[in-house]
Amino acid sequence: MNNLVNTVVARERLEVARHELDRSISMLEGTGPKLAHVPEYPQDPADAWKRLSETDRNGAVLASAGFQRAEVLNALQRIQEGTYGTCVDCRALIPEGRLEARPEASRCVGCQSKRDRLPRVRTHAIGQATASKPARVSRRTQCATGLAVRLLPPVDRARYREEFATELADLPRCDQAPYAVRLVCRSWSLRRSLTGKRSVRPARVLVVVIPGAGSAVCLAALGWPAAILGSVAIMALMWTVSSLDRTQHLVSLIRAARGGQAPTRKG
Amino acid sequence: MAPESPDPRMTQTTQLVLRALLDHPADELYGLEICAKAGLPSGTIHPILARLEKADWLESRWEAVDPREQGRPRRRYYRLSPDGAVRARVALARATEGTAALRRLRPGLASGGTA
Repeated sequence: MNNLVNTVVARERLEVARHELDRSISMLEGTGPKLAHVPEYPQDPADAWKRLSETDRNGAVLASAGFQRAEVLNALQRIQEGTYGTCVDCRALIPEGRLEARPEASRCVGCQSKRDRLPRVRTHAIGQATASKPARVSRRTQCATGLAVRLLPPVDRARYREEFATELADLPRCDQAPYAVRLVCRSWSLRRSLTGKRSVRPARVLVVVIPGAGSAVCLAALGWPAAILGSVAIMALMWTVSSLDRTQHLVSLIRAARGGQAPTRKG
Repeated sequence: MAPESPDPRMTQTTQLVLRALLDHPADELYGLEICAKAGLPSGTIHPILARLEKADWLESRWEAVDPREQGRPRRRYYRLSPDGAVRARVALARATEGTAALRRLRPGLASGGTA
């Protein structure tokens, strides 16, 4: 009964979505003037490849729209068959909120994320990534991404908020949280890249000073020479560990100097 | 004439990103694709991209689609600028030269012996 009302509303929304998709597909196929033209690029004979990549991308968008349209049609079919609103995998009722957000949904969240996890995005091919539905993002991941954005200069926040959101939406759910953590870890570095200032990272100073001071206090019990030597040694160690990209760079230089051979041990 | 901006630091990850971009000079790639092609974990390259963009080696633009139609936010596409492609090749060559110099300094390294 409840379902009956839902299917009427859902049918309406699906018809609207189908209409919209048909419109954008015909626009893309009919070399829509707005989408095929990028005004910021000047006309130049050497630019042939730019136009080519533009048509490639239009193709990907077209594929995605076609995929969505198929889903909408499937959903309309399911309404006719009377199976709309139940998950096609586990037959459970799909929660109303999900159907409101995605009237064409054919699976419950659990089954969909299981399915998304299987073959997807790891091979980030453009067609595949656009063709698959954006995965749901957990609140904690969103918070972490928000924090990474707030650490940036105010002028750049809007851009990176959108950029991070796109990437999150294209990642399988199991990769989203690690992605957000990496964003937070690198937000200071990104901030420095954006502002162009070459300052010492406060995090690095803390990483060095706190263990150093701690060890000095502990070792003071053994006498001052030990305290000074011990804390200097620990601070040096922490500095090396904290400047990981320099360490990494050195390691890579040494590795490359070994002649680009396989990194296995020599026979 | 004065150089417009100093060259970005050629760390190992920067080199990987530049190689990935130089391998696909005709394509515009967004963050995840660059990560995948460079073999780096997702979410680690934005500082590098920002640095390269600031140095005018890269240009970027928003994808020309309507987010509401697509059901997802727009992507930010990156591509080497014509000038950037040249400078990236030079910088990569210089970085490789650096490792060659290191090999001359420590010939033992070449055979893999560290003892």
